[in-house]
Amino acid sequence: MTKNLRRKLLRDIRQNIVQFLAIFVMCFLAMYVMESFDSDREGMSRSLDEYYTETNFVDMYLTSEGFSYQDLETVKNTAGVKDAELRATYTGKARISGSEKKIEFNFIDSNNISKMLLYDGKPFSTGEGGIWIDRDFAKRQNITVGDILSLTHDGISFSEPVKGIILNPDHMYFMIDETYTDPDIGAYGYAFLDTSEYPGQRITFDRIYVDARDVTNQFNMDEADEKALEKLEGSLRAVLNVRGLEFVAKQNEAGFDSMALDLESDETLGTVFPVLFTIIALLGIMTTMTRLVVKQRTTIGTLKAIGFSQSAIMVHYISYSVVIALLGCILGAVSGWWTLGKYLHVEMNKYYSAPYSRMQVSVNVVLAILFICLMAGLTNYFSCRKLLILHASEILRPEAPTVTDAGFLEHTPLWKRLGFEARWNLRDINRNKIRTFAAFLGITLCASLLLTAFGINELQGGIEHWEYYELSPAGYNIGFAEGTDYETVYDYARQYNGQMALNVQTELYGANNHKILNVTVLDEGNLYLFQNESGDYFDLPSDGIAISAKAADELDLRLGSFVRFKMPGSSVIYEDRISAVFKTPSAQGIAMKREVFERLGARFTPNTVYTNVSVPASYVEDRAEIVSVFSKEEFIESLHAHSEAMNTEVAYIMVVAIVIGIVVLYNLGVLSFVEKTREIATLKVLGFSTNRIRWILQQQNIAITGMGTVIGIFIGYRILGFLMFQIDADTDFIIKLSIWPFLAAFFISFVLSLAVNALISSMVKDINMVEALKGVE
Amino acid sequence: MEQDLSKTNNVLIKFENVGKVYKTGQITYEALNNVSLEINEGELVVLLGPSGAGKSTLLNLLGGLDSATSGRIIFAGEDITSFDDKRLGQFRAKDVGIIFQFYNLVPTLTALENVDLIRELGVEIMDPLKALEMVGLGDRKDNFPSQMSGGQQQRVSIARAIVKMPRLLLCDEPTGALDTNTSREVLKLLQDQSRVHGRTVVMVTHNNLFADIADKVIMVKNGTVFDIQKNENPKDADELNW
Repeated sequence: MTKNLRRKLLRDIRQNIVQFLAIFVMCFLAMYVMESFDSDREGMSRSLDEYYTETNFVDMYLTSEGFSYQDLETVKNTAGVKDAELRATYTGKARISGSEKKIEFNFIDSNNISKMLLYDGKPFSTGEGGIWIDRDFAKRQNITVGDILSLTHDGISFSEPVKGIILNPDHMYFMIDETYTDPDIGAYGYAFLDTSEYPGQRITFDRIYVDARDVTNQFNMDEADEKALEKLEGSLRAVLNVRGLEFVAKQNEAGFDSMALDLESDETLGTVFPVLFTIIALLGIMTTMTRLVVKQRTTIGTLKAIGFSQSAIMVHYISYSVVIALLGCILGAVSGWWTLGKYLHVEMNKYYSAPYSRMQVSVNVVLAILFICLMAGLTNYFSCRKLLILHASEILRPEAPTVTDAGFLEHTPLWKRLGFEARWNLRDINRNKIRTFAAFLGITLCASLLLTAFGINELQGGIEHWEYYELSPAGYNIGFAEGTDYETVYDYARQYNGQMALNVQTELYGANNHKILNVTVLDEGNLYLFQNESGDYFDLPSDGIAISAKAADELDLRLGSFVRFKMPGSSVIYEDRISAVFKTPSAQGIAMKREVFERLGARFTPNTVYTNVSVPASYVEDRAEIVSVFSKEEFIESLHAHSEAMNTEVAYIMVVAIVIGIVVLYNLGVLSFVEKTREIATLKVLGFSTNRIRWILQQQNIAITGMGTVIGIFIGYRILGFLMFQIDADTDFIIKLSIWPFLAAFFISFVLSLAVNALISSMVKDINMVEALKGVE
Repeated sequence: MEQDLSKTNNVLIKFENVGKVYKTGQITYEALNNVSLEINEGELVVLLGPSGAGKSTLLNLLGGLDSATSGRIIFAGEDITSFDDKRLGQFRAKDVGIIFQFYNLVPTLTALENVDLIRELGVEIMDPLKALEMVGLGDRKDNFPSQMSGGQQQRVSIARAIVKMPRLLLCDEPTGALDTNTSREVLKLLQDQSRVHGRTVVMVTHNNLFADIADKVIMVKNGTVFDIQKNENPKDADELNW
């Protein structure tokens, strides 16, 4: 485009600044939200891929009560296995500056699968003494290479010189035991030692790490990788005869799984909202450009008459929205990166020890910007094309009034009963269907967006009450060490008037797949409750198993179908019918009464007691059988810390939704009024009072806004349901809202629309009848 | 009196049995019927006739702003009725300058920018400021249309038309929105284009008085040319009084 047309473009934009600003804001916000989530998702995903590739992240690991070197050879000789390693993991303690810190020892013979990433010191070599300690623990506890660490394992004290500071990909999302609900990086640690350094009598290898031949990708796995792992699991099951054998494919490894879910949540939020914003932006472009083209009909005709080609004029008019959209998108993406994106990235790094973690622009963002600009251009193209294909002489003639047939309504008896205002409005709607539809769609989208945003806010904020007051009202939760006998736990339950439970994470088998999920077995009591999908309480069934809605969905199971599960360390598979479905915000899986569990032939070995009686926190230090004591307040505090990032995301989205709602409604209101200026001037000329004209306009607005708001709230409710289901695989919600999100969505979209209309229609009194009725600019 | 460069007797434009029919839904309207005429290079031609006679349609066909339904229009030996939309655009860009009744300036461009806009058509143009000076508006070059009177805007419109030195100037009621004195100034400028610069000027008007300044007057009525008169002694625009 040449100099003068560029000047014209800029000045036209300045003259229609409100409309173009609205388009800019919407494109800005669409890319702001998308880039915020996408930069973190893309950077994390790529960096993890590099980390996993560099360290040859484990493709699958096997756990059991103990593996032998013979088992290792069997695994190595199985088709599809490239390499395998034994590993023995134990939890012990390190004495640092007078206090004991928990530490996980990993005894290994070789370091080829899930290798250590060396930061300082020397690399691990087989048979060499010393300890390789994790970077975050070393940093927080001021440990450096060469220090001698005093360690304890199973009551045996030993010491080791620090040979290296490392990170290990298996420990990216690391909680040393169940006393932690979220990682506290550096508060506890992990370390690698050669098996020859094992201080006890006899080392038990509880894991075999497998490097699969046919799994080619690291973090960004594809279907072929997953199938290869499934096949490999089948092959290994057939050749290994080991007690309590379990398989954990790489995608189920704690860090991998948690990161994948977090990134999926980022992707959902970073897609749903930008799509909504983009639709609204395109709607804004369509209405604005249609109006601009109509307003510039004579200019377009003149340009064509004096010799500008159709394509030159088209490029000029397409540039309006493309320039604005491009500017909005780029600035939005840059702002999103530096604000919300940075925040999310920092939050993510609080939980993950990912060495190459970074933010990164993905091709998706570039494509989204190109798509928005392309759509903006196409929208403009269709706005101009109708006019530009005409001869210059036709364009230069004022547009003839739209000829429309009398609508269906005009042939009904009802028409005769309608007053002038109703007839005027109905005919106006009939003659301006696109404008009416655009206004209706705009209000619908705004209302749905607002309800979604307010809904997420309420549901997210309601988790605390739901989980810790409605479902799990116990004031305290005592966790017992593995292997604690039934009588001991029973005594505590009696002493504290509590309810015994067995909570484990294990493999659940669905219709066509299996997942690591939770199994909860409950003894008599009322300190752990269940709600169905409507939010009503129900008792666990005596004739079967209850499954959480989200687990049922993941395993493709439904009421009446059979679910199978294994308990950790056992090879027995239990199976029973699903008799109930419950909703829970966390710990997705299955739950059953103790009697059902025992009827299946399993042994009830409780590891938790729920109680309302105060339990001293010192029990954790004083009593060997107790590993954790949590009060409800501690759980809530932990929940707050965990959901801080999500709450911030929701707050951002809510602000964005409100801004968009206001901008769209104002823009549509102004456009609608400007388009009616001639009709309004005609009514004024005929002697209609300003107030009566304003009331006529308001009637139409009330009808369109009312319908748009109601339908928008309905659609928003559906979007909310979809979003809350997708947002986090571990978290589930009952989509049951109070009246407030509805009122807020209604108030902002309906009342604001009426207010905007009332404000704009006050311009009726200022309309210059002579100017407005002129046929030319 | 200015030097008269016109009347070369070379035929620039030739209409051969040209017809134009408009269709709107079921309704057809015959705007021009079997029109034949010739216009020589350098002539100032006035198309006269009442409202709805077909003058503007004739002018539009002449300038390639519209296409004929039947017949042929020959411009400098080329049949412009056979041109496609792109070629017609090039024809308008290179050979035709158009002056509208309501000026049709781009409101967001200054006077100079409106004239300079023609540069973007890729045709040879004179200095836009010189064109503005020729119409007496050199000192208003930075004014936007909304900051100028109707007469001044029309003069900018003339500058925009002549800046590319076209062979044909088409004027659709160029004084229709102007007062008498301003109209006289505008007519003088147009007459100069014919007499001094040798351009063919075709002007549509319903004002019979303007016939006095024309070399040729074509009378249009009900879509047909019912009379063509040659004016051997056209008046100067300055001499017109109404």
